[in-house]
Amino acid sequence: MTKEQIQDLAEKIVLGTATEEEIQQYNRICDFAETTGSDAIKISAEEKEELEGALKRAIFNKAGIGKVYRMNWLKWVSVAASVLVLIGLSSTLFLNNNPETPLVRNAGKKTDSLTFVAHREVNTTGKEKRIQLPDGSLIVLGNKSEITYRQPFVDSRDVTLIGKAYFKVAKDKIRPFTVISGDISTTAIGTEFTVTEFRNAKQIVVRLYEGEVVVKAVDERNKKLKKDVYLLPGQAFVYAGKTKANVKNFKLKNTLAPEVVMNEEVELDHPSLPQNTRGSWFMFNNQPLRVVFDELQNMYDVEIIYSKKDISNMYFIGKFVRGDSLERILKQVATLNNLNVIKKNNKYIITR
Amino acid sequence: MGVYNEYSDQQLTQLLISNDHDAFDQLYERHWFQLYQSAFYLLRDTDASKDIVQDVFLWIWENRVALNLGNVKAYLKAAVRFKVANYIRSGNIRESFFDQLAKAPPSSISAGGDEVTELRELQRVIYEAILQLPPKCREVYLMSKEEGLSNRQIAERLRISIKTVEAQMTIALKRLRERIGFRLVYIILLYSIPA
Repeated sequence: MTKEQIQDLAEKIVLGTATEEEIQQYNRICDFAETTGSDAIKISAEEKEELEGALKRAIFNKAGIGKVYRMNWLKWVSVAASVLVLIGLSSTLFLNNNPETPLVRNAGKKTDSLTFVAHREVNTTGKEKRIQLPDGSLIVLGNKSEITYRQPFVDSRDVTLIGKAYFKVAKDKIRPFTVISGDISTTAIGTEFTVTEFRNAKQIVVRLYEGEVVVKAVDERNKKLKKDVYLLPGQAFVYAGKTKANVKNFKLKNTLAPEVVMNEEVELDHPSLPQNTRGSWFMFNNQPLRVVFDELQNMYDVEIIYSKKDISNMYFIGKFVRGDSLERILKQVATLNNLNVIKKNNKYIITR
Repeated sequence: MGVYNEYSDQQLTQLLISNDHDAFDQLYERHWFQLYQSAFYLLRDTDASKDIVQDVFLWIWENRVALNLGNVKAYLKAAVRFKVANYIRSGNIRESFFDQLAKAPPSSISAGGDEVTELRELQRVIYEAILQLPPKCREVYLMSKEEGLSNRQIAERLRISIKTVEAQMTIALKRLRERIGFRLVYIILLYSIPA
């Protein structure tokens, strides 16, 4: 291959226009060059040692992780997130009638953690947004807030939040519902609660309205939060970076709608836009196509017809933005698996 | 940190979701050198190789919530190669790189399973790069790339002007090239922190 051909190939890789054949060709080139390189030059032990520490520092710093290095720790404190958690007990017990999908259970090494769909919801609509989770739980996501979680919930129900949200948690003793926000996590079993975390606010506040919650440090070495904190209704837990953590009382006002409760706290919250405002998305991670299609059917409320036989052993990886047309998504899924999509009477038919 | 040694790569990536720094640390310890070697043997350039390893790990951290990697090792390697491609493309790479390849056997040994994994993982990385584009930009880009539509056809389909389509395409190409460009800032940072 000539220099120009190789550069042209690399350009196609970068721009995503390379065919399967070309990607394979590029990999072969790399394999070859790597072998030649490893024969020609060696990296000395000293060099390796020196690199290791410096590289790690740079990465951890840039990632804003206050793990080993002091500088990071200071930075971490200065951007300490703020969370407000409102907790209430639901008189309604949401029962989860959906049988656990067995696909996650089929034990093989490959499937263990591969069958989740990651969801990210960003709300910049200016008002609250309701999100119904398949386990029966309800999330009322505040403005300027974002939430990320994976479906299906298996052993636990973990949700990561930036901003503010009200959670009405479906009762489930086996799978605790945990909201991770900045340095702290708040766990409730079968209750209703709301969590808020805005990145530019200096403190995290957990307010309990009814029921019971446990607040824990995400990092067990967190010195300001060595013991788990159990709150009673009317108590607020205030966490201000790693400098202060205590429990205060506040006045309870029950029976208000989640949206109202949330808005009453707005001034204290210092709302700020999530860093990434590119919008909501959902992502498939190596799910069997059957699962992908079923999920899409539910999301878009249309019928997708396929033969199980046709798509057995087919998997899909890909991320889509909310608002992407179903047609486009199906087309992409189909193209990658050599399938055809036909639209007929508002139904999509997948054929081989 | 003891237990982290025993976790699989996949378990570690799961732990990243809850901001587990130790899990990230473990992933770094486990893979950094091999990735560095991959980049270095190809490029024979210390700074560029450091940048690449750094970018790859930052990418993992920044996207920790959405990542659900199958074969972590293969994915990381593919990510390195993706970044190497930009280096080759930009013409920064040493001339001897091309000289070597001129001598390479025309269609070198086709491996078995490994090659398929390599292909899939690189495809995934490439695809993820496109997903990083702003939504509108991405839509235009995918229409052009996947559906083979002309700018005019895209303009008609989306009811926007051809000028807008052109502008979006330009942004897409620019972003794709830049996104994997090197972040020199990190190098400065690297040397300015006391050990």
